[in-house]
Amino acid sequence: MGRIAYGLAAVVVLLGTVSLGMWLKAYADDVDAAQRPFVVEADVGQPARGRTFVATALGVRGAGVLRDSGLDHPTNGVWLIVKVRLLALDEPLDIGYAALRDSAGRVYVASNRINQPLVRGRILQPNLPVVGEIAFEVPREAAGSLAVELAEKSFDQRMDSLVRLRLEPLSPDVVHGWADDPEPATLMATELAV
Amino acid sequence: MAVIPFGGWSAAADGPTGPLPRLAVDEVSEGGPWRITVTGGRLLDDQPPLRATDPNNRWVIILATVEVTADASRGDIADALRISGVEGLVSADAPDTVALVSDFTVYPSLHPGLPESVLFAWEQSATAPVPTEVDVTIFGKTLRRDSLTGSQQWLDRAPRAVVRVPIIDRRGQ
Repeated sequence: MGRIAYGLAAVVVLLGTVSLGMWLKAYADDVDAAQRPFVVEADVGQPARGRTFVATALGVRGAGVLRDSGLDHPTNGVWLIVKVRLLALDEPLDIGYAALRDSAGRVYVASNRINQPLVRGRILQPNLPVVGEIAFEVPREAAGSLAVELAEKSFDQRMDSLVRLRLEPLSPDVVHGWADDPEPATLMATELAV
Repeated sequence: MAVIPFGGWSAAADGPTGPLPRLAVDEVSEGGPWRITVTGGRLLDDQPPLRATDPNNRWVIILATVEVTADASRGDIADALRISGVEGLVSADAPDTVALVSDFTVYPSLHPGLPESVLFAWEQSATAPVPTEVDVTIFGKTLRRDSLTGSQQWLDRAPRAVVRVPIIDRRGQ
């Protein structure tokens, strides 16, 4: 009798474990939603405090041609150059991920056609804020309503803080004016903001 | 790994479900995560910014317009094309160089809705026969949940079309 009771108990425990696993799988089926980054949003001029750094969008300008190291880089869309202030909080770090997100949810990572002094390489020291620019290439029609996204990790932003800085909307006239300007733009030199 | 004993994807004239569609030069191959139009082929001497492992070697160049149809920038366009029917390639599979035609940015990130003219370059031994045409296989990927992580990713790289491309010999120019 005792062996039968133990056997039944084992079956109940097994079924319970399987049921719990199935429930957990159903609950967490949308992994991308369950593991989405912790987004911290701010408007232009307002600081957004992430887990390890603080970022502030200071403004945006545009161009049809970007000059870097003496070489001109034209675009089939428009170059958007976002000026930001960055501050590491407790430890040295670099910004591994920078992208623009448009109103349709499409994501444009910072261009690798030029040297990006603030992305993937510049070490931010704690309590030493820097100001600099990040360049993105986007289609003209996508440039109207954008937000800059910044994170510490390059490839996987899940389960960590992601700073989203909303930019002022841009009119089509402004965007086309920038895109059609033949005068090359250059990124500003990154500078300390102390 | 499973395709290696059968010659790898570069030798794929047919897809997993049968013969691949044959496209003409300048005909668009629609799909994800990129839309591709093969626009031509060239044969070039070694010259900057290309840099052959042997300066006597030559370059087989495939030109294509690539537009990302996915909703985020991509840095894997080297996966998009393979060539077959060419002897003496230094790298028989992936191109030795992928670059933007406009400024020769190598392995560029391409962005949604921004078509770019891209060159795919394979180094060819100087002693190999000169190609007059090559078969270019266009590959795509499928957006699905990764069975390991559960997250949405572009996976299952597979051939989706073949283009026979005449090679214009521009050596000595």
